[in-house]
Amino acid sequence: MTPVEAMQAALAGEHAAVYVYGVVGGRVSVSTEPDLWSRVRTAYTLHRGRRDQLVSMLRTAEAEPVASEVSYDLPTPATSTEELTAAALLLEQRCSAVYADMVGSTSGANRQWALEALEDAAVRSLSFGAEPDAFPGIAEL
Amino acid sequence: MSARSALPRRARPTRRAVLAGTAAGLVAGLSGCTSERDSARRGGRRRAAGPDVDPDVAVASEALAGQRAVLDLVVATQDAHPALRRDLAPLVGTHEAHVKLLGEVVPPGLAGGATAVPSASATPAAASRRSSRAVPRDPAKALADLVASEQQLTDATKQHAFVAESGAFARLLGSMAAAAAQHVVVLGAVDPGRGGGRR
Repeated sequence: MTPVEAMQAALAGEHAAVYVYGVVGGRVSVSTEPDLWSRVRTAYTLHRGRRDQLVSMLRTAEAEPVASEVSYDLPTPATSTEELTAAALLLEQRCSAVYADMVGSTSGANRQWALEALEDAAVRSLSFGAEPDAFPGIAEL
Repeated sequence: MSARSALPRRARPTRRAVLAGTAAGLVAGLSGCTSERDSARRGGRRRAAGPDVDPDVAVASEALAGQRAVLDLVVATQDAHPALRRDLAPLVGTHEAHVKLLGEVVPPGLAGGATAVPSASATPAAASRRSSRAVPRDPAKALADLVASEQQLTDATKQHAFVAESGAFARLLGSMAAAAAQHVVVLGAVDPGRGGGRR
């Protein structure tokens, strides 16, 4: 994978994350689930920021950033608290995988950035119920 | 079309096979392909650990030393605080997996951190290495020490990933760093009161 291909894959993942967190955020009740709501809200803001950073990193690399899809299928029916939490968890695990790939396909500042993103996704997945993983982001291990 | 060949394998082989394959691939990738270097890796020259050592092997050696030090500390903490044993068990499993994988990459003569990397003696938690005497009797303090060690390991492993020349190795190290970062959070949620039998 070239550095640009890896960053494009990460950007595609962030487009999905921003969409899904937007939908999930709209379905979580702030009054009955204030804690989950706040975690989703934080994640949404963070992924939006990361999406924008990736766009600018790709432009710096003189590549045209991939556009987002019109909509994304949520990984689960995603209406109950458990389903919404599971959707967030799956998202963070997918982000971990694209960022692990990006670590392996980039160097310098872009790799440093991907390392931070991978760490954040792995830690954030815990807050959505993940068990600690020996090799976050590496499915074949 | 290097992008295609770099895509993750979809047919899932067994975990063991992949581990072996990864280690073998890393060894091949890290040690170079000339027969001279292969024989050097098996023979006496590896002890020199000088300019002949592949930079990534030196990184792996330092990463291995850091993983072993933290593994030793976690196990020593379990021994000193049996009530924490279950909470710490997943950490042991993860560090053992990391040690195993890195151990397959590092030639025996290099294990232990005698490498060309200048900061080898400053690997995380090297100071608190293997001795249950180093584990505080206060379980809260013992947990705090572990948190600090895992945090240091996270930072050091990210640095190793940053400097690794092989992309596959960088990816692996990045994942190991993320696992250590997860430990920092997991440890923060452990109730030290459960380890309080010796207070």
